[in-house]
Amino acid sequence: MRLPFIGLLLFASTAVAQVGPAVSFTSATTTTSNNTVTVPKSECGNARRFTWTRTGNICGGSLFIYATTGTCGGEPTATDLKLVSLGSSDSTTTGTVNFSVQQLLAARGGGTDGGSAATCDSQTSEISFNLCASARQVGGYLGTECQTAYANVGSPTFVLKYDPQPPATPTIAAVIPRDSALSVQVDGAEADSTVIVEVAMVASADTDAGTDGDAGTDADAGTDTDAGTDDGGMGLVGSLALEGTTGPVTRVDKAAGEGNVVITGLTNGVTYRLQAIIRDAAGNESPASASVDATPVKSNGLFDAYVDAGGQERGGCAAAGGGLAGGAVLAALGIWLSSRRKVS
Amino acid sequence: MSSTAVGLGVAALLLAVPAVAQEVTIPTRSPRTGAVIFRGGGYKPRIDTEKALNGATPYKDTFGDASLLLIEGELQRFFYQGIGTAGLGLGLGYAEKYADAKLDDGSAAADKAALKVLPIQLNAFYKFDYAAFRWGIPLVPYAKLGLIYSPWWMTKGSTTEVVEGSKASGGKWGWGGTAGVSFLLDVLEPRFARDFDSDLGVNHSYLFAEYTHADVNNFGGKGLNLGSRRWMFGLALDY
Repeated sequence: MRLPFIGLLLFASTAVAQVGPAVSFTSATTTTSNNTVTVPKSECGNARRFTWTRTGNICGGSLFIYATTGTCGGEPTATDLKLVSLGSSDSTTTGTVNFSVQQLLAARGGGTDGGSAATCDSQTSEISFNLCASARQVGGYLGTECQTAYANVGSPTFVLKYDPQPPATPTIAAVIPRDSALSVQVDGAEADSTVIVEVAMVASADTDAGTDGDAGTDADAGTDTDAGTDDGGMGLVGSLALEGTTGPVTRVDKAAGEGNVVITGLTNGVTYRLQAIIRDAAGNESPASASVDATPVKSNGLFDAYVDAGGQERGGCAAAGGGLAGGAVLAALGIWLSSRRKVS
Repeated sequence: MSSTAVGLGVAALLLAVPAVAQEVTIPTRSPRTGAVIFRGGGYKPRIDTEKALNGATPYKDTFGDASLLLIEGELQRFFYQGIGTAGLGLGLGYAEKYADAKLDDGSAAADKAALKVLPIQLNAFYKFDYAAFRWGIPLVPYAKLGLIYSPWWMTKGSTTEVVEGSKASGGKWGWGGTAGVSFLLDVLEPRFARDFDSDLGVNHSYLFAEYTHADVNNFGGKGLNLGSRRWMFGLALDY
């Protein structure tokens, strides 16, 4: 009785050791919630990096890691981009794969049964590639036999989505002049996109916008070096020169659907030229809209009106002192009131 | 056991039941130590009365004749409870008003101008509630006198205004006197009032109207006058 039991135990332990391979992927690139890496046309040639980790044993044949437009499972075809091939005796358990959409598109022309080869420029429609791992599984009556068919052993399945289509050209529907600012309404932005407004001073007939009579004085109307650089929270770029402008181009962006883009830190009385661009979720940028000129205008709030009328209030340090005193009184009385001693 | 003994036992039990019930329903009053007050009303600062303005009316030019909506809360602590009630109170409020900023030609600009005020008040008060509690007259007149500190700031667009290098924010000291009358709500629903006390410790509830005379201009100093003459209405809860 004891001998058959020991034999059965040894057999069972062997069966347990025969575990099929499994591959887990991680991405070095930010993905969306469904493990999709969206690639714009401008990054078509940029390599994307994924790390893979293998567990279990390779059972005959090979373990393949590849990218395909089809579904995962089976051996990679000639039109798929093979990235890793591990034989059954290979003990490698982890590694990285780097590949670009450009490589994926080129690989599609490698066979006669798949799609045609394409380049970053010729591929004008959206296309997705799955990152897969496939290997022969362990199965059979006793669970120890290598199966002939390949199956998907990778998880999660990352998707590399190539989106070469730029958004449609937006339009600037309205520009509302504000005090030292312009509020720009941009139409034509799709959901999950970003509205970008670029602005630069309009060059005058003379030298620049800071020296014209209608643009204020040199000191306050903005010069080539100071326009848009004050505390408006904007970055300066020179990537897109606006025709007929002078000085740096200021770029302000805002998520679509969150209202007007407000450009602050401008100089009242100076004319600015604006154009809008839409950047979609993939990162593709639309052509620039038609440019629009606008001029911030000074407006008067209550304090302007009060000071203009001769009011003597200037705020400042006295308020801080009073605030401290008030805070101290507030704290002392709060403690006192919280004691809640019963009187009757 | 004799039938006499059983009869005595039943009689004792029947007598005990009403006694227990009576003990439960005896009304009780929790001690009264202070009050919580919520009030609201229009607040129109007397900015345009500043002498240096020489008759100019920047507040009216910006906001017209409209008042700010002032919401206040106040905590009171009773120190004397005899012929009436006296004590100290600490109040905190907030008021704001928006209007279109003006262009130089007087037309409306796209920016919004706003005045915001956060008045803090420490006051001494007396309320004649003796008649209400003693004779059931539900009206309680009262008066307050207090010290006021009002932080303020003015905005245009989304930022605090800056004019000629001066930032439009600060704080003003002042004083205020208030007279009002409260209506004791307990007389409308006495039982509910008792439950309110036993469950939450709220002894009395009042609705009130009061008039405030406040001078908030650093006791006659130069600059903004945030004083006002105003009516306010609210709810007071004694606890």
